[in-house]
Order: sequence, then C-alpha cells, then structure tokens
Amino acid sequence: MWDIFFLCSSCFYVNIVYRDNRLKDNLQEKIPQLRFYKPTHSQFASLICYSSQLTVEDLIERLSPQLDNVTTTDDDTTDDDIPPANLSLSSGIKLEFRHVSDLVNRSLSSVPKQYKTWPPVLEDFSLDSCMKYSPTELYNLIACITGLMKDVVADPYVRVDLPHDQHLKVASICQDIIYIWSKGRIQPPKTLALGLTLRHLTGNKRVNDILSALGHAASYQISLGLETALAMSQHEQGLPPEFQLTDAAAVCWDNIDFSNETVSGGGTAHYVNGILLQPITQGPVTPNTASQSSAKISKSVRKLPRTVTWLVLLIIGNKVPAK
Amino acid sequence: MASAPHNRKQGPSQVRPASLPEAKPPPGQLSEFTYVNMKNAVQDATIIPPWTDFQKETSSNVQPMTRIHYLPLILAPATEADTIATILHRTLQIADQLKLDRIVAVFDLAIYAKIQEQRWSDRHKVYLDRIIPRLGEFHTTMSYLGVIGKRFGDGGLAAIWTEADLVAPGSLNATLSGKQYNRAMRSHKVLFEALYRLQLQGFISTLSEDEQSQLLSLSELLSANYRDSDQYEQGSQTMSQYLARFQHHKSQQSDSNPTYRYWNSYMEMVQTLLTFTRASRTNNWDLHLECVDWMIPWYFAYDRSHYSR
Repeated sequence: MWDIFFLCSSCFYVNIVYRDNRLKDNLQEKIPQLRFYKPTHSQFASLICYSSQLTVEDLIERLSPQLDNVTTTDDDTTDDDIPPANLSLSSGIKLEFRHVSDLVNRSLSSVPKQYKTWPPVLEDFSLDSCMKYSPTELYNLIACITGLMKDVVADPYVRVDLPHDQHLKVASICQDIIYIWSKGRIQPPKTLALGLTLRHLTGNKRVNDILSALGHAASYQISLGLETALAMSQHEQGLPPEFQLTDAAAVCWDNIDFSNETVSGGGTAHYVNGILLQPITQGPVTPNTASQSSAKISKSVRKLPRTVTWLVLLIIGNKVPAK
Repeated sequence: MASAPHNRKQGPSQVRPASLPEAKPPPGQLSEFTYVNMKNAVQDATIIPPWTDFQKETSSNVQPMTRIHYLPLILAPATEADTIATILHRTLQIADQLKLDRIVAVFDLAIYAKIQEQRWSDRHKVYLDRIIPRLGEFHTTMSYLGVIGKRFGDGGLAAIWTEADLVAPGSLNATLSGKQYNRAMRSHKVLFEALYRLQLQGFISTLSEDEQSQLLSLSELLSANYRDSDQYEQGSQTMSQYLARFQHHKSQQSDSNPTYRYWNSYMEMVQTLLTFTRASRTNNWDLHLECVDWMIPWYFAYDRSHYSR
C-alpha cells in the first residue's frame, strides 16, 4: 500500500504528462480502498493517492518529509533534473509575507479619504494631521525595514517612538505609499504641500510632473486647483477670525509690478497689494466673526475668475486758478 | 460705490523745522563702540557673532509674534488719485471691522506723499483723525542707503568695495543706490567695522598705558560674558566713559584732518543707519524718532524730497 502511495505521491514531483485519469480509474478498479485527493495549490500538479484506512493526521505526518523536497520546476526540467528545495521555509515566508501585507493593507483603509474642507487649512498640514495618513502598522513596518527601529516591536498596534528627523522621514514615506495605494485619489498633506511648493519655487511644470510620476507630489493639475481654491477662499473670507477685535493693527500698502513681456512694452500690470498685521497678544480672546464665508469651493476649479475692483472716486471739485 | 469728496489741496497744519546734521552726534553709539572694542580685544574676532546676531543675543526686548493676512489686490496703478482714495477707504473699513478708533497704515514714499495730500484735504477729517500714516522703515532705510551711496560713491566708497571684493562691479550701482538692500547693508557693516577699528587704534594710542590695559581687560571681559545681560549692561556703562573721550578724539582729528572728517561723516551716517535698524527691530520708539530726526537733513541735502517731508 505504501509503495503505491509513494508511487502516486511522487507523480507531482515530475509533472507526469501521461493520462493520469486513466491511471486513476485503473487503480481504483483494482484497489477499491484507494482514495485520491487533488490539492488546489498550484505546486501540486498531480493527485495524492492514499488508503481509506489512513487518517488525515497520518497522511500529513507521512507526507511532510516528502513535501520538503517539493519545489516548482521550470518548463525545461527533466525527470532526472529535480532541484531540491525547502518547501516549508518558502511557503512559511510566503505566508508571513502575505499575512503582513494583508495586515498593513487593511490599515491603509483607515486613512481619511478627503479633507474636511477644500482647500485644506493650516491645521491639515501639521505633523499631527500628517500622522492620520501614516497608519501605525505601516509606520512600524517602515521603521522596522529601514532599520530605524532597533528593538523588536512589543505591540505592532502601538506606534514606535523615533527621533524627530527620522519620524519626519518615515511619515513622509507612509504618505507616499498612501498616495500610490489610492492611485493618486487621496492626496496626503505632504504631496499637496510639495506640489505647491515646487510650483512656487520653480514655476516649472516638468519638475512637478517628474516628482508626481515618482509618487512624491500631487499632480500639477491638483496643485493648480489647490492654489486656486486657496485664492478663492482668501478672497471670500474677509478678515480671518484669528484677528482680535480692538487689538491694535496696522496695514501696509505697496505697489506691486509684474514685468509682463508685452510686444509694445506697455500694458504691464501695476497693482497695489496690502497686508494686515496684528501682534499676537496673550489675554482674553475676542475673535472677529465679521464676514465669514461658508461657500463650498469645488476641487475641480483650476482658474480664478477675474473680479472687478471698484475704485472709490476722488472728486476734486472745481480747479482754482493761481492768484 | 462710495466717493470721497475733496475740494482743494491742503498742506499740513504745522511744520517743525529740522536741525542741522552736524549739530549733534548720532544717537545710540554705545552699542557699536562696545561691539567693536570687544572684537578688537579678542585674538579671533569670529568668536563674536556678526552685528545682527550680536544684537539678537544682547537684546532683552523680545517682540511678540505677528499674525499676517494678505488683503485683496487693488487692480489699479498705485499712484492714481482714485487708487489712493480706495486705499484710504479700505483701510478705514478694516478699522471699522476690528472696531478700532485709529489704525496705522504704512506706505512707501510714492504712495505716502499722495495719501497725505488726500488726508489733509479731507473735509470731514475722518481720514485725518482715524488713519495714522507711517513711512515704512524698509523704504526709509533704502532711501537713506541711497543718500550714503550718493555722498560717498565717488569719494572712494565704490573703489573700496570693489577692491575688497565686497561688491562685484556689476552690482555696484544697485548697491550704492540702496536698491539691493541686503548687499548694501552687509557692505556698509563690513566697511563700518573696518574703519571703526582704525579709529579705535588711533584713539587707544592716545590713552595712557594704564587706561589702555583697563580698556582692553574690560573689552575681554565683555567678549567672554556678553550673553549675560547684567554683566553686559554693567560693562557697557563703564565703556560709556571711554566713548565720551572717543567722541572728543574724533572731533579733534576732524578739525585737523579733512579726510578724517569726511570719512568720519560716513561713520556717523552708518552709525545712524545701524541705530535706526536696531530701534525698529526692538520697538524703541524714542530712538527711532531720534534717528529720523538725525537723518532728515541728509534727505534734504541729497534731494530725497519725499522722505524729507
């Protein structure tokens, strides 16, 4: 019986190509006690044949030393050229790998899908907010595989403590992974900030495109949309609520000229811009709630509609000739 | 659309005559006198930080943080009358929103002059009472840098800067005129310190040996302990005795040597420039006014009519 068993079980080592269905029928006809099992795993290309008197535990116990010698074979492998390999180690690593990737993958779905408001506000770019896009399991895994974490994790669900500079780097990598995982649909704060910063520093679309293609920055279109939304929100907001009533404030006005290259040299932009300043004082807070806009800004708007600036007319009156 | 009625141009009600620049020494000299003495005393002058860092470390006046908000652009040229009226109108709107009786408004020289014209012409005196216009320190300094550049550019300053590789020949004009602010400030600080050291060497040679060693030991003590505010304050007070004698020495030298007098006037002008910067950054209003008072005659002398007003 055991000879038959090993005869059959050895079949999957060599990828036998003859008609095994016929062999199975012949065997079953001659030895009715035989049982056949076809594993679903692709590693096992053939049937396992065993006696009906054999229990499952016995079967596994008997089979395990044989399985240790099982490995995948290339197409050109002959019957005599069977490379021995350690199946249990390989499958163990694969199982662990699968388990870890499943664990981390599940954690990715916990990140926020979008910001509470568009455009995101200053708090959304704080390090604490960025950590919402760095799930603990992913963060610990990155810290582990980059060698930043020396000790074994006591609890994988508790974020490891890293020095600030390393913490920033790991959080950055986590946000890159989220961006890639969501196929660019979720833009973590790092990708938005990097995209907009590149646009402001270089004004170069190609630089933005390269870093976006590498998964580090949001796309150029998203950067344009963010910039437009920031301008619209600023325009509609009026005075921000942080400015305190009755606290001394100062405004600064200055001309701002853009050196547009027109054909004639005329028609260049000469505007006036201003800033409002107020010292941050300690004490009772009286927030300004004068003109807060709650209008929703669409994420798809890429261009700021031109607004008309109404000037106050200066009426001088009749000219008085010199005496 | 609101309108601001004005009938005729009106000047300021009172004009105070400015004093001549030579009448009094530039304000706030003790800090620079102490600073250069300290640098002179130590073997390696780099252990004393540059002027700006030194001021930061010795200043006890820490200013509060400021919140900033960008106002909407006014899409019109800055110097047109309607734009100026709009600036005044919007400034007043902000003051109303923040429930402020008065609001400070800062301008550069071109806008400031036109703002004042409209304020003085305001019949209802709303702008006059509620808006306090100020010339920005940055533009004031830029204009003053232009004055210094005009006075000393052809008198050897341009040659010194280019020979010493402080300023590249291509950047010289913009630096002298004050348009390149950072480069001009740095170049003036370096030359000021170099000339100050030469002046000090001449002054120290007139002191007795005891006084020389006393001044040296005081400078060494200060250079080792300048981060301790109490010791720095105390040492500076002792240093002020030497400063009075240094002033006397400089005036004597100026009387006898025209070249010394010429470059001493450069030192005094840069001294005021540094004091003005310090006054602005430490929120020292009295010192600020004192500096402006000292600078005004120079604006007149070098045709900077907007700032001299």
